[in-house]
Amino acid sequence: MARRDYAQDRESIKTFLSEFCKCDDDGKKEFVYGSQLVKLAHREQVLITIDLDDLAEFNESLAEAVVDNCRRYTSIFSDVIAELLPSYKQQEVHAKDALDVYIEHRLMMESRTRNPMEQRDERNSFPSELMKRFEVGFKPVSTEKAHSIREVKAQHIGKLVTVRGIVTRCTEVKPMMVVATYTCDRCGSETYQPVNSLSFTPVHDCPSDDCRVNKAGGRLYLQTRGSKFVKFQEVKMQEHSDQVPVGHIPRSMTIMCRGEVTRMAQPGDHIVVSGVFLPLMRTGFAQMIQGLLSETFLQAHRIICINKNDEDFGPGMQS
Amino acid sequence: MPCTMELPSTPDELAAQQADSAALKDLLKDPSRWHSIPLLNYTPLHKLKDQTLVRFRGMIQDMMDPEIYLERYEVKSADGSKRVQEGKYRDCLKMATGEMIDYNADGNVHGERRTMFVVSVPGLNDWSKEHEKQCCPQIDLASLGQSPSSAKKRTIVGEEEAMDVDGASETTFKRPCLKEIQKDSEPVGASKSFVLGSEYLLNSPLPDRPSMACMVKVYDEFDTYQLNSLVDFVGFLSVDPSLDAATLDIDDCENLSELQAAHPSPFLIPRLHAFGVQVLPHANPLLDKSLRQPTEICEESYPTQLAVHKDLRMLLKLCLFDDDLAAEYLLSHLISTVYSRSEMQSIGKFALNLCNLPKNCEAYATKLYQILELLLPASHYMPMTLGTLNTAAFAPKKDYETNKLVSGVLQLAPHTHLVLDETSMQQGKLEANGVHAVQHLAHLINNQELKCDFQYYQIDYQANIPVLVLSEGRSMLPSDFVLPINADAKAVELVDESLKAAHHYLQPSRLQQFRKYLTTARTSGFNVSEEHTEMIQQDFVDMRKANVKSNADDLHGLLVLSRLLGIARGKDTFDKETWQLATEFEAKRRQRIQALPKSSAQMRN
Repeated sequence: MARRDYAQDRESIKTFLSEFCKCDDDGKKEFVYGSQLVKLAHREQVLITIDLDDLAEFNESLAEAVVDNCRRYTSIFSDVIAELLPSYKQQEVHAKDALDVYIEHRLMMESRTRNPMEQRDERNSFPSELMKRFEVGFKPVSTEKAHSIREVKAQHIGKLVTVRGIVTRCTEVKPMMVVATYTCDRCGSETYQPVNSLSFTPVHDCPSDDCRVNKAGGRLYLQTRGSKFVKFQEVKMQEHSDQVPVGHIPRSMTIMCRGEVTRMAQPGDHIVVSGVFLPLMRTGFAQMIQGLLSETFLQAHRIICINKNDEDFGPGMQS
Repeated sequence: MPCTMELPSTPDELAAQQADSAALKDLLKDPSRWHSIPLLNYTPLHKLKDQTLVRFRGMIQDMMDPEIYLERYEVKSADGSKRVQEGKYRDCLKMATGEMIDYNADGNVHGERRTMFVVSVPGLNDWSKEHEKQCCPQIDLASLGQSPSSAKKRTIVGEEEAMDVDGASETTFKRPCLKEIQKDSEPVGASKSFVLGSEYLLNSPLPDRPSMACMVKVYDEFDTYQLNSLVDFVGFLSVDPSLDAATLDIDDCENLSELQAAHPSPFLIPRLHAFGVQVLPHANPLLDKSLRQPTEICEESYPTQLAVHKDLRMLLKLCLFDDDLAAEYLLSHLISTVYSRSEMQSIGKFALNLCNLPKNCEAYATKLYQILELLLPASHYMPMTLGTLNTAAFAPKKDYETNKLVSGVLQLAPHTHLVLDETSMQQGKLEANGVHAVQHLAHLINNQELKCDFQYYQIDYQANIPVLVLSEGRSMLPSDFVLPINADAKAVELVDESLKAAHHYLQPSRLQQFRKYLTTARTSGFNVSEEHTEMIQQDFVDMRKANVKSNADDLHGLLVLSRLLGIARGKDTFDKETWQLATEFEAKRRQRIQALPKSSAQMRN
């Protein structure tokens, strides 16, 4: 597999998002993603779904690369969208929640006080995750068939896969910390810590220049109001009875849903999930064993509920 | 070609041997090589060190999801030198003091392995256990050198000792899942509350005859394992105390019960990393070459099948009130097996209902079972009382809280006989569980399939369990063959003495003959050649002319019976004699059914 030039990919993604259009029945041109970006900028929509069919039309190799290395491209897409968004803002957006207010104030403070020549510590500058108020999801190509859970193997790790099954259990929807915000009691600056996994170790000492240079040793305190949370739900899914070979037990799979994909499935529903198949290093279980075992899970981008009657429609199609 | 390789004694040795996989395969295929390996079923855990080579025989009761583990990883030591460590066949990471694992090294390889929850053969009768124990090499504690360090006794509430499972005093059928849930308000240092009881974890199909359990991890050929099959595993034992989820400080209470079920104490349920697997065609240890048979048995000469058949038939006749026909049918039942399966049918099954048992014989069924117990390697006797039907778990059910397939009475290995005693049934009401129980039994008898409940759907698993129902009147369960007993009046009076005489007759040498005979007959093949099909067809047509009601089922029954009668007499091909014998027997059986007083239940045949 040839290494891809991510910078080049970013450029083509930019073009794709801003210029991709479909011809309507009336002959009117419709900018599919352009209009979604406008909505995102105005906070009217949170989840933007990139249809890989469209991307394949635009650039086939890019679409394949997205499927192969989905996680990386998710972050590239969201970076690109974050760059493009300010240009799509057509009117003033009102703050929707506390985090919006924080972000507004932070941006104001930064523009006022920041000295462009000054070096700022990585963690004191705003992480991109904090500022993004949207989510990116991929819709797989329509020709892709849904696999059964036992067909998804180690070779699929990192790729976008579609799986069909029945939900057996789901946890309640909980807020998950994505960026932890701390305030120092000495210098008053904010420190941010992006969190990528299910658990994190809090930072104690303030890394800002003031505290480090003066050796004032400020302690950090976690601010839940300034931190960013996303909705999080863990869903356990099991194979359909017709997918189980003779003499075997139905296999199950864990799905992690974030943001808008939560609350889409109840226990007992037949669903088609597409998402990225990833390994998870479970922390907290015996140091000796933790390293030896990884668990896998599916990070959901899309969940579609299908009823028994609709099964002949085939998976992956819009319900 | 004799194999010059020796069995590996540590996982590292095995890793070296796997370079020459053909030789390793040959080594494992040779059953005599397995003689020296201790059987985990009969060796107490405190005599075995971690990572020793052991064997475990049992039935696959549950299969877990795949695990991804580090097959090869780089270890860095304090002075900067690196080495590559193999992770296969181990649970814990192996490092010397001062070494650290480099999780991000390029050379790290991840592999996949599956865990099977294997229980020792449920319903294995005492003589089989004794015999297997005799064949098992004894381990001398003194020769081990050092005493095993890990504590056998745990301080955790509710924990029981590892191997003393047979002495469990619980006779209830209920499976207590949550013993006690104490929320610890004390700080670190107090013992954690033990949420899952050891009975629940061990998950024996027959709660009053508990089995030992072992979690076997297999590394290849995952798809060849079938649920409820009998397998013998050879591999490395893993009993490190850190494997126990209950000892850890887990704050995540959500998955606590699931974690505990997936990682029970290794002293209760040891782990075995298997590299050698043998699927067992039957549970009879006398005929298993991979067990070192005691020398006395090997030297005896073995009489012909026909002679043994005559003796066995005579014994059964004695036990069955001198009824010759009943003896023939019971013998056929004891050697029956499902030898072929088509889409709709399981061919070869022989569920037998011996009805019309004399009413005034006290506990006859239990006494008859005592004789059967001595002859069969695995069997289970079940009185069909209301209490049993209403409370026992019959079919396995998946518990989604702990992600475990909770076992039931009907989850038995192939060829485990089930003897149901309806004579102990009383008047009363069958509750929901009881109704389901009867449905499950009926489904098992008719299709030889076991329905497992996965909450959103049910899956059928193939079974091969011969069912014998003993009843006074007609049974409430279906049967392939209903045979009313014509008890000789004098025999009824003398039944107790007859049974005692039968016990006397069963000397050890004769018992061995009978036991071997039954298993050999069961596993032997049988052919029906073309020339006989004509004869069969003609006879069947004649039968239909005589009696309009006879149908394809009758023909099927005749074929099954004639096959079994032939095999019983030591034949391996079909011939006219056995066919005629079968038709004769079936005619007599039908006559007897006709002669029974008409009761409310309508039964087929």
